[in-house]
Amino acid sequence: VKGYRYAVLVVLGAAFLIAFNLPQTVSRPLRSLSREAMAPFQGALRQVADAAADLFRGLVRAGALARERDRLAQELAAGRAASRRLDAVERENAELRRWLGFAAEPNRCVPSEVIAREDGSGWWQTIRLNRGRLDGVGTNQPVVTLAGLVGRTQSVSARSCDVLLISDPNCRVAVEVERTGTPGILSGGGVSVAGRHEAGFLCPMAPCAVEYLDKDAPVQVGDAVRTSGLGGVYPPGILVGQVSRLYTNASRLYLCADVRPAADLARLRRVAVLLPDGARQPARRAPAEAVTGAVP
Amino acid sequence: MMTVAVMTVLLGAAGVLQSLIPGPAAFGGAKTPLLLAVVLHYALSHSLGAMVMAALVAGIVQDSFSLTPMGYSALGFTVLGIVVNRLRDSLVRENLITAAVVGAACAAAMTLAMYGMLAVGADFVSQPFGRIALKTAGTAGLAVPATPAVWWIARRADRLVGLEERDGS
Repeated sequence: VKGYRYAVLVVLGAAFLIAFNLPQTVSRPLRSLSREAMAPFQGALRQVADAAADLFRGLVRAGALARERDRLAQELAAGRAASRRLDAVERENAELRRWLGFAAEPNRCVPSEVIAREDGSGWWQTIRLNRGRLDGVGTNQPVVTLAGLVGRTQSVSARSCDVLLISDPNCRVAVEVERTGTPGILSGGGVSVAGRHEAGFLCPMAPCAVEYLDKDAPVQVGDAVRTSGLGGVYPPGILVGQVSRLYTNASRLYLCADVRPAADLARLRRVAVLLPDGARQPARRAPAEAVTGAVP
Repeated sequence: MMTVAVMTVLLGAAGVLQSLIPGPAAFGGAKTPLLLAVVLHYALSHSLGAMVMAALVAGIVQDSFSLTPMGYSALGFTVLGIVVNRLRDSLVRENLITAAVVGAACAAAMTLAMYGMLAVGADFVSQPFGRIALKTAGTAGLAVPATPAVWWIARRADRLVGLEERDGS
């Protein structure tokens, strides 16, 4: 009888595996329900952890922070002066665009806060944002910071979404080396290390690498890598990172390049989801909150 | 009723903490297996039914915090829970070394099982052997301190509401 009971339990487990996997209509509501229930706790804990980390950093680096504040104040003053000059240039640019018939429509952005920086299982490189379908966010939309590309939206529910980072091996991005125009495919290395972006303990790991570069292309360490726009998910010209190491692949047919991401993937706090042109207006947020802005 | 209440609190807290605590790159990005530790506690100290319920809920929580298809973790937790449940009469339950060894072994087995299921069943890019070995060793290493801590908290919670005497040992 006992053996029979265990057999039934194993069969039940297998049935669960099949039942959860077969129809998306069954698994999606369950996943959404669990995510939406946990999202407020994740967000609150994330804020507490960030506040504690900020406090610790502030205490440790008090002197350096004071010097940095003075430097930033000077930069702000210089920036304001430059901004006044740029206003005139922008007006002139808009006038010229009208004359040339160009539509000045930069990507619409949905500013979002990161409520979870870590995937729960350790198998994916993801972050969770506090914006979802109600804010106009859909799947496969690019996510950026001011520094550069972060990834793309993967799984979206009403008030939150998961973003697959460019450091995930399942994330592929069509890119090109800015200086030479050499095209390649960027894929994640499965790790995003705080601060230095690289780890070489036991096995070589880098956050991202570009594959299929022409082996005769004059690519150099330090070259900027940007999205090429091929594939349609990412608009062209978004900064991805800099080349940190060059090597040929095992077959010696192509050049490969490790890339240090421009965005600090391990410390993301605020990001923006780029909505495609003609995306429907968010239902929950005021339209003014979906700001327009230039791609980094 | 109290079993369900305590289980809900333990699994909720473990799930949120597991998603919050970073996976160290030196350990292959392995996560601290807090949810697994809760399931193992129920396998050792509670009835089989309670363990299966804990395994299913823990699986749903873990899979909803990641892009893993729903059900993979639940299956892994359930199978490991049944194995540990069957072995519990030969284990010294309230022992630090038991907790560390059982936790580490189950965490390593869970990591390998999850990779196998993902590689076969999901649209998942295969990973180099070195990284899988590093992640497996990493999750086992993280389970060594995590499992005794979780078991201690879970036992305290059970004793607080008078559950241990009724359900388990």
